[in-house]
Amino acid sequence: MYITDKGEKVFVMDGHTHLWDARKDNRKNRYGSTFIETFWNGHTGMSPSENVWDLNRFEYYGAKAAEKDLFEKGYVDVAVMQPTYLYEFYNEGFNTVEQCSALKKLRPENVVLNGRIDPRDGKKGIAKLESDFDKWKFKGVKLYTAEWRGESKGYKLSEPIVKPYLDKLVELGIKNVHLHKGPTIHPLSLDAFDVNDVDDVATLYPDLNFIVDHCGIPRLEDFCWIANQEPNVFGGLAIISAFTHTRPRYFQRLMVDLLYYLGPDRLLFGSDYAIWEPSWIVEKIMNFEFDEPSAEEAQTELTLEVKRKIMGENMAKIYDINPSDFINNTQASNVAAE
Amino acid sequence: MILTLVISLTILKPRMLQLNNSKAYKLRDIKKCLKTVFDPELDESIVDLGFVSNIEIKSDFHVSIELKLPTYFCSANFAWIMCYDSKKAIEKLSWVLDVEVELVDHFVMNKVNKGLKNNETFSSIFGANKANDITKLRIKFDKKAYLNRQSLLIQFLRKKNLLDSEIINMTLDNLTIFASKFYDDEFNKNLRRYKTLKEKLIKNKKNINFAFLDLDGSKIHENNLLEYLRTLRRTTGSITANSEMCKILMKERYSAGGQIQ
Repeated sequence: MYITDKGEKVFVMDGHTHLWDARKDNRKNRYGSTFIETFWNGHTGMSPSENVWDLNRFEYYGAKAAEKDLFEKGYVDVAVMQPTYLYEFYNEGFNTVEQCSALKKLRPENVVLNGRIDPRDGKKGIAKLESDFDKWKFKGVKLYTAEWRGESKGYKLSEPIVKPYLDKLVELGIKNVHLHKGPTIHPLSLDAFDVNDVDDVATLYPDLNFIVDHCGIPRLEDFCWIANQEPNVFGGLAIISAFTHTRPRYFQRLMVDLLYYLGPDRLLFGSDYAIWEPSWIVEKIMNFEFDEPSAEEAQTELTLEVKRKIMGENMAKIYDINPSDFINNTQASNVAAE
Repeated sequence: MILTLVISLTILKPRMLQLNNSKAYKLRDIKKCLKTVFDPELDESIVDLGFVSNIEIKSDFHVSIELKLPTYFCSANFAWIMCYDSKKAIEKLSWVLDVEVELVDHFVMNKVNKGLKNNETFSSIFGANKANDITKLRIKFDKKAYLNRQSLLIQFLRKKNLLDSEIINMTLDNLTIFASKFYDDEFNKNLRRYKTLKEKLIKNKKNINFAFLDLDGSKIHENNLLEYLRTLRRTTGSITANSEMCKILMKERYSAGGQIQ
């Protein structure tokens, strides 16, 4: 929970967090080193200097540290964990459901643990989804359409292999589908970034929510266009939110377009932890205001009401969470006692 | 004795200078060439983006350059385009016989480097399918770059208090005259690239004398400039934000401790 200067309480739900292991022992090959290297460069280049970690901590921080960074220091009431497997780069996986579950165990009330599916796994994958669901009761899953797998250089949501998976999600009542559509690994061609396939599935599955993480950057214009037409498409703000420190003007520009095309009800805060800590991002966004021309362009100011929606209320809605449970309970008294 | 020294120095000096000059001249030549090579997605020259990490004149006619990108995972097709265009641009120099382009620290560097050496095409290296059609990709990004440049020019003119109707009806010649009066390097740079792209992309020549045309070659509708700019904004916002991200990553990757072994 974030409290403004005037004492207004703001529920914070971080829709994009990880618990990864990029230590040397876990790296399988050069990809493993260069993958974490890109994260590390983003971390050092965009974090305020007082929030830059040392490399050892960045490679592996563990559940205890994550608990502190998110829920104590970082204003986060609920964190959604988005698994990323990458078994081709990391021996035991980079950020698997198993790894992420360590944080869920520490803070069951504050952690939403998402599953992960890859439609190229075929029937086996569906069985795995079912057994994983039995164990964890996911409310959402993450899909990484640009990931290479053997001969496959990625897949499109419009491909026939995807449908059985989406049907299964509907059947199990898992309604939040997170799509990584942003800067990507192994991008061979333009298709890797393409967001147009979201259009097809969003129309076919009106009861599922499609959260496009990173808002399709660097294809923001295509994303805005699709999201404008499909009411069940949401924009995940991870990466975009990190512009607030080093490039606030670009943050403003992107937010203007997103607010104009999607409105304030379909934008979801995410820090991309541990690339960046939510603590400073939450502070920056809560203190951010549009200049006059931008507010005019966006057709809205960044009012407290708009910020409340983006920082947590929108996400709470799709994950059936009641913000007031968090704002009025023990957490609030903890803050008051400090 | 002293006299001999002085004489030999005067004889030697101009020759040495000439040699140095010729090398410096060639370097300048190459840099100028590479300035015309653009990252297709970011619409900036690879020199300004800092992607050219080394230029070596190996012998009188043999040039070798090295390119580095912001991440190991930068898109393969863009990496290819930049390497290929660099090679082609330098090859055009009259004194150059042989160009070597080496991409380093990148996930497809071996394929790209080998492919360039053997004069292969992108699809012969990575497989011929629709997604690997480099020509289509180039057109797509040229269009984005065109709209990006156009939007920057129009915004600049609006800041100079030109009326929307004046902007819409401005001819390319008039725009060029304006440009010569503004003395704004950024504006001139945008205009040069804009003209090149306009020439290349606008097939419908009916309105070609006008400065600002949409991708179909139509004039922007009267009273509609603001709405038109809004559609352009989405493209430019995406390009500029992405470009900033790449610059940040580039800087961090090649500063102390930026690389993880």
